[in-house]
Amino acid sequence: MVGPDLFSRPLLIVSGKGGVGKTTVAAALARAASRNRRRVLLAEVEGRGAISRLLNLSPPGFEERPTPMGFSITEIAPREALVEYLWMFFGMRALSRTLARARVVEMATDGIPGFRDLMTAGKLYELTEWRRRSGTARGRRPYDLVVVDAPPTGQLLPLLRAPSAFLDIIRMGRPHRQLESIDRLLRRVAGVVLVAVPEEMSVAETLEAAEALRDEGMPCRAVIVNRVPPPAFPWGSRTAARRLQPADLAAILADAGLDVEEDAVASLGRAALGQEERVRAQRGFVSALSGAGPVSELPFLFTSSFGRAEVEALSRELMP
Amino acid sequence: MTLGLERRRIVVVCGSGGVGKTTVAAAVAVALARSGRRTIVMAVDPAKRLATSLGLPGTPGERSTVDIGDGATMEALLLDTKRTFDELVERHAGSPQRRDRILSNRFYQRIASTLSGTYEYMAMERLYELATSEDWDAVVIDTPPTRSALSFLDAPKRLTDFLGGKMFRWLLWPTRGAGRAGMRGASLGARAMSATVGRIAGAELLADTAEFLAAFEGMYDGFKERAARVYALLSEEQTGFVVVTAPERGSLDEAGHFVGRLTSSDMYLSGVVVNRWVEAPALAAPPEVVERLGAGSAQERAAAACLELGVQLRAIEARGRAAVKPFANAYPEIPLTYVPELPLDVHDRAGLDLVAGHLFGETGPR
Repeated sequence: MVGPDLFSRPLLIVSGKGGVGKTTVAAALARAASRNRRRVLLAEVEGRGAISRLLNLSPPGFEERPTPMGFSITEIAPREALVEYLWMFFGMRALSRTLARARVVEMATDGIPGFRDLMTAGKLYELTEWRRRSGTARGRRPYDLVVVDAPPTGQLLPLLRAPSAFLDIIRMGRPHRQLESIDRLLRRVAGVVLVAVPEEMSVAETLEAAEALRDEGMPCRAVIVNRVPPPAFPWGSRTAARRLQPADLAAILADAGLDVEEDAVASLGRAALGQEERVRAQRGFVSALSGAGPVSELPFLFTSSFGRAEVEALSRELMP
Repeated sequence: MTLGLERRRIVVVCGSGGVGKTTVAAAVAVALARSGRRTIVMAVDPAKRLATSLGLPGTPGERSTVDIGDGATMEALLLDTKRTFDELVERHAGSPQRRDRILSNRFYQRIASTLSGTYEYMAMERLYELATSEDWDAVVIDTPPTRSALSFLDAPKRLTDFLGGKMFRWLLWPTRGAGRAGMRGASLGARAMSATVGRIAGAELLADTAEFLAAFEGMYDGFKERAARVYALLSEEQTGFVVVTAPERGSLDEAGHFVGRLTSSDMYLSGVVVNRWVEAPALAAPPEVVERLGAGSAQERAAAACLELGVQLRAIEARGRAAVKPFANAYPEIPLTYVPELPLDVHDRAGLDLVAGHLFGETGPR
């Protein structure tokens, strides 16, 4: 369960080491929030359609599309964000259309370091504060909450720092003021959520990222440990389990009327003891994470598929 | 299926973040070294416990000799991913004056630390050094964690594109005193874009950028040539790619993109490793039996828990199989090597040996 104040921020940026389930957790957060707040958007940044794959929906592209889960989804592409920016703020509608096809836009977004991140940050600003200020005048309603499925931790700080880096380069005019607003949004208003799994590398990277965020003045607001397995043996049977020899296990199963093969029993016993060993090691990793921020746990789900139902289940763990 | 590395002297291990690239790279290196090849592995960010227990170098950029048992050793190099662009500038600048002019440029200072592709490029540079040395029969390289496995391959081109500054040249045309003829030559789009950038970003940015480009002009060719050679090395017959994936759809999709790219670039794929594969014990029990045992003695409850875990693992195995299926259908000719999920993170030589056993079978690498 996460603290209730987490959802009072208009922007949550969800990051973590690759492969820990950032997208799943971001979707669960969006789902949990959408049960109480009206307009929630789950935005994927420079991804490969992980959200739509998880929720089994067609990719929304740059469009904001409602889903049966109660929140909308979108994919933020830096290039489209740049084109949108040019026509929104400089009225370059015709030009921006030409630009959308021009190689120069591709080169600008791919070639100028940090520019992709800047465009992404700018789009997050547009989705939240800019809409709130300008109201629905342009047919764009602000969201109560935008949850961002952000790049992995290694690329998180460059994203968060991009606006301030460009403040030094672009030193005047309207874009300068906009950069200040975007920088303020990311540093003061947004909340960073780090996703981890109870494994050595993920824990080390999470602690490192949390420290870097603290140094940057953006402390991590929540650490969500994903895939925490339940103990393999229920309380009261662990000692017995550790002493259980394959022959004992085979005897018990045979007494229970099961037709058992020796190999299968041995591999079952090994799997269970391996699981128990894993769970014990993982408890240690979970407790180490408290150094990174307030920790909440999500259980490992032993389901044969992973989609909307699992996101729903996890969202209820985050906010019952 | 096991990994086939015949005729490959350079093994590049890649995959999306968090799939276990470093572990697989280390296990491949151990197996190659044990088969008698003079082996060096370039690791990126290994887990601390693994690094300590193996005796990998503690500091990025350093090299150490790793004892892999039975009197055999291999060399390990830790890639310095924190290294900045400055080193590349120093290498290619040609003269101290030009180097200083670039390093002190305001535009350069702002961008150098965030220049995308630098780490990947550094990895490629090191790979090139090792691959062209006579000292090694096998060079195994782990690739840096990136958003996508492909960005490793694209790094040299991205960097040369940027440094080639085609875009900037284009944008800056009118401001660099190209004169009337130049203006006439520049396309309408270029002029419009240049005016746009000036209006949005201010003339100062353009001036800083122009100065940066002028300073960079002379060193671009050397840089580009080097990048081209590194890239060519990857398509040689001596280079084999090992793609590592988790048994999850996202990771396998990424592996699919990478495999497609390798094929279209005429690069050699040595195999795809499905890491952390879960296989359930072949033992099922009716729910009423599990329930009955669950209400029995401590031993019986433990047995019930084993049976329950078996059911859970079967679900995970099914999930893994469903994830692998589209990939296997799309690339039926590509051999998949499965490495099972181990109870603990691989953190020592015994763990690596276990992984190597799954990668190469009992015969070891051929």
